[in-house]
Amino acid sequence: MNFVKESVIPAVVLTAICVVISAALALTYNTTKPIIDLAAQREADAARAEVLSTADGFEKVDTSGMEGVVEAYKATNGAGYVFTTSAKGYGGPLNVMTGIKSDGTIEKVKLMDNSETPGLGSRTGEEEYTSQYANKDASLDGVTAISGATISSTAFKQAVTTAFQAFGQLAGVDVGIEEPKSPEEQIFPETELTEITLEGAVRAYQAEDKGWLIVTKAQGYSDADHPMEVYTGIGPDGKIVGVALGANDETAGVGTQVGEEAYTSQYVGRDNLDGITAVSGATESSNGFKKAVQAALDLVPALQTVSEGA
Amino acid sequence: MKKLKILLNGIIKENPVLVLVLGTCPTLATSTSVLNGLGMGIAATFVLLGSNIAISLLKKVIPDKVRIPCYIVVIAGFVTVVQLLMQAYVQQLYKTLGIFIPLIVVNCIILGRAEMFANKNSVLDSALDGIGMGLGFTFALFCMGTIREILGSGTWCGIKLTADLWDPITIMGMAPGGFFTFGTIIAIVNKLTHGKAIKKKKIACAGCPSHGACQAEAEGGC
Repeated sequence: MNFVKESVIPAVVLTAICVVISAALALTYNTTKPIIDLAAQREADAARAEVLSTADGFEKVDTSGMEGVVEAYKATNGAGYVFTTSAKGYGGPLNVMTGIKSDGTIEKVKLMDNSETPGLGSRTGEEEYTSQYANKDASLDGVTAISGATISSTAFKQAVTTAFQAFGQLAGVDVGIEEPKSPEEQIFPETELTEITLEGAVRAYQAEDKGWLIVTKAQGYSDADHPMEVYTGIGPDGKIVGVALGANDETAGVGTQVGEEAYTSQYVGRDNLDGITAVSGATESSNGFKKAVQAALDLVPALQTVSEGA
Repeated sequence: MKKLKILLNGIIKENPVLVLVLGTCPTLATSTSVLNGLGMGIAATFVLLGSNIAISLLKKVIPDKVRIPCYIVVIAGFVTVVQLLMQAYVQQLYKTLGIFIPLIVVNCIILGRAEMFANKNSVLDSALDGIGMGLGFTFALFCMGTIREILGSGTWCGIKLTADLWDPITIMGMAPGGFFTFGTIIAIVNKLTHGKAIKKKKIACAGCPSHGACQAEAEGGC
């Protein structure tokens, strides 16, 4: 009797209370769930309506496989699309919601989840910056970065470009975005490259009769585990045809400028690198790049001997 | 009238926050603005009322051994119901209060009153006590909220008062400011009641967090 009173009844009472409470919870949950879901849907729709005001409703579109696209919605009345895209910002992923009208121009952009520095990178969410994007097409001509927040601005722009790429894919439209050319394409366009062995180079190719393409590595701004890959195209006369930046871990928008034409064009036609000026603000990346090109130039005599002997 | 006395008890004499010093975490956290504090107070009052009634109804049924788990299940159940209802019908308040809604479960006021009052008194008395304590909590939140919002953001209930005139004292909206305000108000209450309020404080041993380590229970409490 005592056993029942001491041990069984308390357990039974506790269990009974748990059962009753669970029932009450289940009832409330089932009653409120449709309302909660509807509210969440309406809130997301409100954000979307803000960037594409001419739409009367949205339906989700499958974006699996599209890199950088978080989600995409199509306006039910054909007004356009709303994309939420992501790019690598300063403090982490930077998400942007872009409303692209059916004519291929932006209505409005909105900064979403991000970890940018408050007061600096976060200013990409301000009207002053986002209003630049209104009515722009895929080229995004004339959009200027926020001074002091280059990386955040570059990321924002990249996210919008990704939105256009997705738009092009979904709407079946050519938005005129140039695919960035591979380093090989930049130096020896439309040329067949046959791989050759060259000691001291990461890779080397014979570029038909136009010369050789040598790939070398050097440490730039990033740490020793992440050297820059530099492509140097050398003509049969030993002079540089062109240079290009390959895989690298340099700071986006800063060190990566060594890959841009303003810097690389200095190298064309040279067989020595005296007088090459570094990119201001990207000294270490520039020095690394130059070292890599020099290393390629140093390998040219070996190539010339081979070709003479052939 | 005794019933009225029970009701008023929670508002001034045994104010849960300012006299019994219960529920300090949500007090400090939600008193940054008056509207947040009021929202929290009303939600907590509703839970207090419900749990006090339920526990009073069950006081003969729940064996002493398992009373704490039973109380907690009941309280947690109520809070979850309130949370779901808020999420469905008052989304803005729900989003503002955020994590503090589920934290009502561990709000000491609720378990404290269940332990101190509801399991020893009639349903009606327990209900009145619940309302009174809830109102007292809301009142304390309102006072603290007013002070912290006016000093810390220059507004009151969102209405700009001094915000555009001078820079508000931002620290008042943060933890240190909360403690400053809290301590000062308790000091004032003590002064006004000539210290009598504190002497009336009775916390049942079982409801005290140091219960396991304390030796004073045998001597009749602390």
